[in-house]
Amino acid sequence: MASPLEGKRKALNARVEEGWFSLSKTRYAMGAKAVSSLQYASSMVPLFRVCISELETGRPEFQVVFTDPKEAQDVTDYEDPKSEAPLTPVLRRRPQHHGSPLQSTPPAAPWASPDRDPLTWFGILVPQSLRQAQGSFRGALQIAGEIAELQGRIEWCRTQVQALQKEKQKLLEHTAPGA
Amino acid sequence: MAARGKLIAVIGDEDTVTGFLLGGIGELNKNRRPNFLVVEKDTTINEIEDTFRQFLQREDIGIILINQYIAEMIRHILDSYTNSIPAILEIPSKEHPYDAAKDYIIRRARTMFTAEEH
Repeated sequence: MASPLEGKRKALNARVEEGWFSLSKTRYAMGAKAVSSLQYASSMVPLFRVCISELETGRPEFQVVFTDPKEAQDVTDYEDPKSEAPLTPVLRRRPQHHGSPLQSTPPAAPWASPDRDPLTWFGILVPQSLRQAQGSFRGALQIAGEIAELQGRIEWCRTQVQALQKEKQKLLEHTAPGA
Repeated sequence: MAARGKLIAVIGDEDTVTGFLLGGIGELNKNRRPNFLVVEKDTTINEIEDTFRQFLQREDIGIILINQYIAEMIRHILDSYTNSIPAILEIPSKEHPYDAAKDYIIRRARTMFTAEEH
């Protein structure tokens, strides 16, 4: 189990390093301050999520999945169900006037533009290296899910071994006085 | 929530966090709570600890990515952590390459096998 983990680790590190290199190339092309935390959007919706299933108790399986941005928008509303209703676009829709096409679209919530790729935080026409960086980090995310699963298996095995060792200890204690 | 999946959180230097947010893991929820922390020179260990503990307590986070050199600062928390969700992954940073010997999972696995031998 340790050697697959080692292999995945190497792959993850390589992906992350590729990503940094591409980010550096982007900075070279766009300017040192063009790629920093200052460019983060004020509203973010995750495009990647982890699906966790537990086949055996204490042994979770992780799967990193790409979610549709429109679906992801709905997901952000789950935390506070009470305030969910007014933010739903359907419920916010006003009665439409046929003569005014401009009023036909519902007003957008502040975070209602999640279909925007994080690439757009850094400009409309971004260098190819930034797209490469995005690809590298996305690849790293997929591998991170696989590593999380392997780590979960190691932890599960560890708890199993500890439980068995305790059991063995008990059995030895029971058998020792009679021997 | 479970069917839709959980979030991936990240604690790291600016390049690491920027990269993973560019990949599309970033979220600012309605309470404006982010699922990331950019650790800069003036970020204190207390801030890192607090954020890390918050991430551990949040039910919507499934994986926490953390630069290994930052994990070293809060090693005592990682060593005492025994849950499998959220999973904690130590990742390299630009100036600090990944060292498997420091990884809490690898160290636990090693102690398990050495204990078995004895």
